[in-house]
Amino acid sequence: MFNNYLKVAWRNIILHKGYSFLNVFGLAVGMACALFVLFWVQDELSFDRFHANAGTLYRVEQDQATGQGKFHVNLTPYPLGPALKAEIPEIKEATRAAFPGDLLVRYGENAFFESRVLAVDPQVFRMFTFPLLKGDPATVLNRPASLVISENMARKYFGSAEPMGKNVTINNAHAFTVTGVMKNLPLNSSLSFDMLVPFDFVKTLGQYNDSLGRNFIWTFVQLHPQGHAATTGAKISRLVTNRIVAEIGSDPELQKRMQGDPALRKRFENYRGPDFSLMPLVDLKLFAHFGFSRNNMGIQYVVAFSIIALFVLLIACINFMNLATARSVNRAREVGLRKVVGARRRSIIGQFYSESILTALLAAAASFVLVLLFLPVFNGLSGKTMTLASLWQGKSLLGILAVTLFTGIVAGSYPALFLSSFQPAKVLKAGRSGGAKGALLRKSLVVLQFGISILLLIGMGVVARQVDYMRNKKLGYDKDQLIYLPLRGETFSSYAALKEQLLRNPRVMNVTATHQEPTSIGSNGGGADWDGKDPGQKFLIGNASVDFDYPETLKIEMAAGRTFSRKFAMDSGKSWMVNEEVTKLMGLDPAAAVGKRFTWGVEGTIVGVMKNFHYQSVRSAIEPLAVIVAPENFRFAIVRLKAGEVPASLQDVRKTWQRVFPQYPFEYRFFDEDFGRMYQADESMGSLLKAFAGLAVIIACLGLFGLASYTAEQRTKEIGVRKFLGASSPGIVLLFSKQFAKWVLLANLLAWPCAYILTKNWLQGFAYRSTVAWWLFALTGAGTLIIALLTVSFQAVRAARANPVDSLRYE
Amino acid sequence: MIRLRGITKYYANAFVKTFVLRNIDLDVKEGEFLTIMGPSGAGKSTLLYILGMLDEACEGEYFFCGQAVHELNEKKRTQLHQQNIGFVFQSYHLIDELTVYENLETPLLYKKVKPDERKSLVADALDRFRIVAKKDLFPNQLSGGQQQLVAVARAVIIQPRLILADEPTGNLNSPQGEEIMALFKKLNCEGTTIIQVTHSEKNASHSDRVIHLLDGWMNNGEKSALPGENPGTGKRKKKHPEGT
Repeated sequence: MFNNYLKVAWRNIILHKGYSFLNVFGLAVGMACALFVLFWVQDELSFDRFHANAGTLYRVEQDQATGQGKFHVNLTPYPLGPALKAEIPEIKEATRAAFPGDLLVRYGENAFFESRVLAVDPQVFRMFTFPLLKGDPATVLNRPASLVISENMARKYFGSAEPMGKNVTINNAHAFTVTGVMKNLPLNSSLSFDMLVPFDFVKTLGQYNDSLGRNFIWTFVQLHPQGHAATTGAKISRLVTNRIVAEIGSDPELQKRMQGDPALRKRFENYRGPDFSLMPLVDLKLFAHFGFSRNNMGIQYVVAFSIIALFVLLIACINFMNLATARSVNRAREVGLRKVVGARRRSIIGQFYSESILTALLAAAASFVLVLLFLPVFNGLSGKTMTLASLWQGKSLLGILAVTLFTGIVAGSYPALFLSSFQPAKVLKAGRSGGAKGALLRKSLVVLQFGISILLLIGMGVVARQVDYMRNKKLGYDKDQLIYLPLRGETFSSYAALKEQLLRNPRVMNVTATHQEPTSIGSNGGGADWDGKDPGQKFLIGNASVDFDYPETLKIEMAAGRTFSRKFAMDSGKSWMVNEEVTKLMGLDPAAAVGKRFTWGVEGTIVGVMKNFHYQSVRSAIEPLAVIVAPENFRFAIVRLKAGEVPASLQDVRKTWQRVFPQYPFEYRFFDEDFGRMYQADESMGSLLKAFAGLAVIIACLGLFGLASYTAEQRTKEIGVRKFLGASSPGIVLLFSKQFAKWVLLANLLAWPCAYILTKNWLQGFAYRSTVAWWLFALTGAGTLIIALLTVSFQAVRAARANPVDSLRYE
Repeated sequence: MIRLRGITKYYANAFVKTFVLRNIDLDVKEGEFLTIMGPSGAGKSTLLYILGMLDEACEGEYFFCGQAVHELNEKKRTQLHQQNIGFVFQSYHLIDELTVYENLETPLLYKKVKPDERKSLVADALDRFRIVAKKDLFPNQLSGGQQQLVAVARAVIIQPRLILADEPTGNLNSPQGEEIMALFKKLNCEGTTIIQVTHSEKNASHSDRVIHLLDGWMNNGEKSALPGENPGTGKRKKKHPEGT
């Protein structure tokens, strides 16, 4: 029976090559889209699941209550890990994980800066699945100077020589011995590092801080199987609160102050630390978020692209349905006959399903070829590194099968149900009928197809505009010709010499320094105090140590007061400059804030207010920032080069660097590049959307083309009669085009409100956003109309120019 | 075998009912060769489709071998039709995408006949209708007469008790038509009940009985004689062979 169905299906495909091609090609393109997204989603979802204990591993995170709202932090205090393991029974293991910063690793002549060195506790190998090729996981990090490196690092430093037992030097001062070699981390690991050192090395580097109130590093925990994440989180919160209370309470000065200040005592007694929670390791990739906003989590992209891919596939399926029902005139007789010789409706439905699944299988084969052809393009857009080998495995093949069946069943559903309903008595007697029956549904489906395409097109336009908007947003300072040089290893101690030498060069306009990456100052804290501040309220303020000439070098405008100056002794460590946001928190005008007390670690005064500028990505709102001169913290030198002579001045900076630091390689980054990188995610979303929208339109047009040619075929007689009655060819083309234009216009009207709501919603995720422009809608409407008319006109013209005698003679 | 009572069929739109059949009473005995005649639009084909269970009457009762067809659900009706009725059309109505062999096979597939038996049944039919040489050809590679031969073979292959033929010779030239009629005659002699619709008096002459339809009314002299008879009693009239 099935054979019989397949035979008929195959012969139909061969007989109607043109339509079969439209069908198979359209479906193949739709399926290729779906497959790409499926592979991408599979990859995103596979993150961190390779750990044998994945289900019981968590990262400790916290929400801090502040005057500006809840601030989510995934860093924890240095001493938290051991305390958790010791005091909370649900916690089986805990490890701390700290990036000590860029380290200069040297083995003989081979010396490189390594930024992916992680300091961890030895039990990391019990908790996580990081297989060792050499060395014993139980002891590999037990000794203080031991070092575990990846295969890649082993090759980089030692070539083909045996890495075990080799001695390397870190930062020209600390000797380490390689005690283990681990397999390179899989690409779907959120934790990524090339080397592991024992945690105590951060103490050696002087980075340790034993307060439980300050957050610097990650803490990962493994729960006992019966442990519950939410209750454990609450226990951590209690533990930390108690410890902090004990920590502060032991301060004799505070004790004294509390005796004279009952309000302070009350605040102290009511103190509540941050709310801790456990983020499952396997959710890290898709649900991680930081700061005030929960926007732009990875999961949102996964959902968005899954929906978009489904849409594109749906458009392709609709093509199949439409062409199949349009051809129902031809198939009606067959259905009638099969019923006459004894077929039940069920078997007819089965037949049409097997036909659509056969077509879907052909399309699947074609789509696989498309996937292979466009894999490099997709990798480029999505930042994945998929290969044929990675696709050729059970999960992906299962995915292909699922997409194929889905397509076959969805695409076949309507033809199967519609065609199988034909009454043999009617179709056989009347000879031809049934074509008009599905017309309304066919029209609705075309409207749906175009509606979705329009939605994607408008979405694409809005995303492109937003990216453009962010790129061109005034930052509040001049980022052109600005470079920054990381002061690695010991170089920061000679920063003053570097600055002095650089400034002698006329091509160097200005030099300053900061302690954090100048384009994204992320460090903040809640300890600031000023006169008139509500003592019960905590405000998070960004803080940066900067050098003199900071506003001058970046060209930040001042709202009030003055910039730091060497003329005032207090400016070296006692004076603050803040941005306008801080004065808003203080409830003062910028001018009024100047001269006010501002205490944050040091007792100081505000000497100047900088106008707001973007010290982080333009994605997030400008938050309060206070800066102070603190040379001991400098990690980045910022240099403004002379406009118009950038290459030459860069060359000069390089020469100066090499003179001052002969043993350290010269590294620099343009501010511009950093900003380019910040919008990469949005840009690749934009590019993917562009690709999908384009494909959606193409597939929809393929369907329209097929439908138009069928309509033309069906209306041959009508057109013939009209021509006999004196209709002109242009008149016929108009008649023909009008009907399709109506559908596309209707699709526009339906899609516009949806597009408006969706894009408006997406834009809400950005602190600074472009508008949803009305002309984008008009443009999309006009564009789709023109494309649709061009598609249809080919058939319309052919129908109009046909000789009416030919079409009527055989009636 | 067949008993129709008060069969009425109309097509209704918002304002008018267009009657196709009006209050038809008809009894057909097993083994009978009946001809339905009448001008175009008289309702002949509709009556045939109702008899073949491919169409339903709006009013009236239809008993097939004692079973109340008008009360059966689709599944039961299809089964009844699948087991007992073969159809032959004016325009042959073979499935264009299937070969002669596959066309003959199709009813057996739907009847869920086992592959071995199916093969032998198809082989027998090809043999009997002398179309073995044509078995791998598609319908459009055959002449009209040959196509109708295949169509009859397809109707006969399920060994039906009733063959319904809608102007079976309408598209054929006279020798071809004669051949098909001879075939029907032969099948009828072997015991198969045949009901045909035709315009041709000559074809009608092959049958035992002729009824006439006009504007949906059944109109013939024997009508008054028939209602008294009860086909359900199992009285079977044995056919006399009428020459060969």
